[in-house]
Amino acid sequence: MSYFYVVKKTFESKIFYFKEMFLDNISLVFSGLFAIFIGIYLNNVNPVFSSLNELLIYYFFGNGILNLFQRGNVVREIERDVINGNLNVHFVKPYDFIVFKLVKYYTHKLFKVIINISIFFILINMFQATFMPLDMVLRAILIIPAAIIFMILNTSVFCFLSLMIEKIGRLHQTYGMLGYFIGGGLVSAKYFPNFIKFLPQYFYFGAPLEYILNGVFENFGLFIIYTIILIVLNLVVRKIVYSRLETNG
Amino acid sequence: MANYFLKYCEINLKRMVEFRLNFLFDIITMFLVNLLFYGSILYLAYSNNGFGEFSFNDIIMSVTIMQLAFIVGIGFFRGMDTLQSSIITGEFDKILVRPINSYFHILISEVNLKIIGEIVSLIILLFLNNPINIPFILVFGIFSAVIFNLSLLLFQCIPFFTDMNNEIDFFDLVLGFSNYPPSIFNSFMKFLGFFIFPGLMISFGPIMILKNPSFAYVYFGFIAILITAFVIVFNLGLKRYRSAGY
Repeated sequence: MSYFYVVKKTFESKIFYFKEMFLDNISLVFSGLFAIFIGIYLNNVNPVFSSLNELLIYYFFGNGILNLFQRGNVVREIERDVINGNLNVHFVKPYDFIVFKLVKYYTHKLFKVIINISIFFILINMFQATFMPLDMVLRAILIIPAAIIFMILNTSVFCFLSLMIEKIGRLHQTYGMLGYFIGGGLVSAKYFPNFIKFLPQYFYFGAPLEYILNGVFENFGLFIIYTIILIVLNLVVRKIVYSRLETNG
Repeated sequence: MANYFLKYCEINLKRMVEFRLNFLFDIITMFLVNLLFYGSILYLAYSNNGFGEFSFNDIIMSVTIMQLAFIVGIGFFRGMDTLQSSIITGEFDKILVRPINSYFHILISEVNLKIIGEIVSLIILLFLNNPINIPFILVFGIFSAVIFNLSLLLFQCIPFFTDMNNEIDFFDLVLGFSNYPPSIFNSFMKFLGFFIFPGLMISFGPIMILKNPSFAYVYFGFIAILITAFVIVFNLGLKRYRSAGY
């Protein structure tokens, strides 16, 4: 089966339901807007951004893109399939299950990102800020995929753990939200105590956003160590789960 | 009525304890989610000496009122969340043929007992408040729950007229507004947050009454408008409703 076909079909269905998707995104845009408002307020009281433009770029990437991926990622989709016994549908088909899921899921997300970015641009214009230096765009292109991969590795450990006890808990959701609230997604991580810079969640919100703005990736060594640990944990836990897997038959 | 309500609770409890570990997991994690969320908002309020005209104590009170309204609304009257889908699928027929009036069944047809996690976080929040304010919080928490339920129900009545689901996540928008202090918003956003997606009215309306008693006219006037609007819209909707067998 051609993965291009999956991309094409997913895009077609998204275009068919464009209005629904657009409206569905409104609450997401508002949550980004709330974050911008609280960011502006806090920055007036205790400035951590040098200009309004810098602040808006921070929230554009944090709430417009990273938070979108944080709100549910492909591992959770796979978890649901495993719990519901839907995996056997995929196992008998001539394509790689994980690649298929990744292609389908991220085509869907890409569409949401495009809508979100468009709406965000309108909002940014409402605040009348100039937008956006090329070096920041290049740094964003470099770091955002890495942040998303780290995010998936991080969440998937919790998903696989909940599969080990054969229950869908919300532990990984709590864990993900921790990233948004104090990892520097909701407001800049600079407002929180320094210890949060050692949490894994900081590396898919605060650290990449700082890198985009200033070109400095704080605690890079720790980021590499966490990545290695997460890869090993993922492999071990995944192996245990798959060895115990039963189809719904 | 009380018998019906208890029966609904019993049915829901039986359904949930079929999957005990899952039930326990949900309770614990929802408690953690709440703790995290309110913890981060309260931390920001504490480290900035409140937000504008709202002191740290005002923020704790508003968060507690919001949590109480949310528990009453979503925990014990969860049925309001399903009105829209029941209209679309025609399942609303079942409600119309039941004894006692349909308002009652819409509200209590689903009781979400996983709310226990939120109740624990509410108790913690109540302890953080000044004890003198607790009666005020309990009373206005109930009024805010009325606003929460009525605004959500009003929005859920739209499919009576459009025959299709509302795509906008009204619930998320109301909750979103309720979590932030009005002082961070401009006047347009304040208007949206107080009157269109009334999250600010739910969480900060009572605090505004404390600061400026004349705001009580706006708060209770808004409740009266919501009740009137809901009764009118619901009854008009019922006249238009076509059952599943149509």
